[in-house]
Formats: sequence, C-alpha cells, structure tokens
Amino acid sequence: MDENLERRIKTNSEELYRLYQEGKNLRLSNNILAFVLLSAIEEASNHFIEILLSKCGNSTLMRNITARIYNKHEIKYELFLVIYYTMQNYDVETIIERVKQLSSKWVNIRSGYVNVSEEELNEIETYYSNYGEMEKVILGLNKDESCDILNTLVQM
Amino acid sequence: MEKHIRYVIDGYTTQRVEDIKKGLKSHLTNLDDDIKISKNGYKVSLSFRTPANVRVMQCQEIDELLSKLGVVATRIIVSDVVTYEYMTYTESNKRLNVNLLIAALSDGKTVERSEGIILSCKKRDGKWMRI
Repeated sequence: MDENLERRIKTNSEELYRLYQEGKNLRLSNNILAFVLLSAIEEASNHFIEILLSKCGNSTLMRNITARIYNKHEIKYELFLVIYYTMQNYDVETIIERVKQLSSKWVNIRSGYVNVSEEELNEIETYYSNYGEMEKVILGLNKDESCDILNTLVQM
Repeated sequence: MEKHIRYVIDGYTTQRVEDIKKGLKSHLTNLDDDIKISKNGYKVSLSFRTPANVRVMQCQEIDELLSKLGVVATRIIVSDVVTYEYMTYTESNKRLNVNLLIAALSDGKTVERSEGIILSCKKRDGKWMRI
C-alpha cells in the first residue's frame, strides 16, 4: 500500500507541474501559476516524507508525522529547501537563513499576499526542477538516517 | 553531549503565548529556556524539555497541567533527545550529508537530535489513548 501511495503522490506532483506548464502557455496570472507550482513542491515534499516513512518503518512516527505535518505548508517547504541546500553542501548557517527566508516568502505567495513577478516564478521553477535529483538522494538513505530525519521533523 | 526529554504538544487555547510560557515555567520548575510556543488562531503547539534524569510525565498528567493554563491538549509526543555541537566536515561521497540536514532542520549549530519517541498519545472521546 505504501509504495502505491508513494507513487500516487509523485504522480500528483508531476501532474501539478504539467498543469503549471499548460497554464503558462495559456498565460494565466503569475499568482495562480505560483500557487500551482508551490502545490507541486508540497507534493514533492510529501513524497520525500513517504519514502522516509517506508524506509524507517516506525508506525508511531508515521501516525504522528502524518497528523502533524500534512497540513503545514511551511514545514513542507522547509524540508524541500533543506534537502536542496544540503545537497549543495552549504554551511549550516547559510542553509538556515536561506530556508527560513524562502519558505516564509513561499507561504505568503501561497496565501496570495504578494504579487508574484516573472523572476520569482522562474526561481520557484528552478527549485522544482531538482525534484528528480533530490528523490534519488532520498532513496539512497538507509533506515537509521530516515528515522533520524523523521524524528527531527515530528518535533517541528 | 546533553540529554533531555522533549515534550511536543498540539492543542487549542484562547490564552496569550506569553501567559502560557509564564504558566509553564511556574508549574514546571525543571524546564530550561528552550520553550517554543506557536499559535495560529486558536490552534497552539508547545514544545519544552526537562532534564533526562527526571520522571517522564504521563499524558493525563500533562493534560491536567495544561488545562490549568487554559490549553486543551489533543496530541502529546514525548521523545528522548540529545544536544551536541554541529561540527563542519565535508563528506567526500555523493550521499546526502544527513548530519548537516538535521542540523539545518533543528535550527542551529547546537543540534538537538531525537533518539526516538518514548510516549505519544491522542485524545479520543475525552480519553487519552497511546498511539
């Protein structure tokens, strides 16, 4: 069942990205496009969490993570960005600073509080374009590493 | 490396964050300054820790304490945690540097890493259930 769910969430994310591309051709407003793109990133983050949960295999963690994280957009953005910047091997302060700044910006964009520029939209797309690479890296983690990450996430 | 027991609690409240924090400190004398409370509307999440050598409070007990502070708890997660200083080192292979990732997720050079959940429960039909 887990593998099926994982695949479905991944498909959701890819579908949302396709929707974004189609919307771009239809010249939909940047705010709508950004919303769709950020939803794709949230699903990507959910996908990473599902991979970690199935690798870790701890049912208590699974129940608590599912209940606490699944409706928190900011944590999903933070996880996505932390993985991205960790892969670039930035130092820890830089990662924290960038992740905080960007995730709160994305929360505001998602809530429709700001007008999204072309540049900002492209920036979000650049992050999304690393989804495949990030997935590979997450798939390469072992059981203990997966549990360690989830144990940190559940307390956020 | 220091060891602690961390409590993470979700719930509802109409109280102010500062008042809950003050109340927690006066009811639980063994807390350090690491108390995080985030409130969104009436929803609230609390996170605090005690030293590792004190007794672990049970869900019912935590619930009774929080209700004195005007917080209705719905979920409680208690974990063993260790804190340590993050040391920079580069990993030569292409694998993800999980230590760096956890340091970044836990917000700083002093990393708090969870060693696992020791107790977690949820309120269902007015009763606390272990989950």
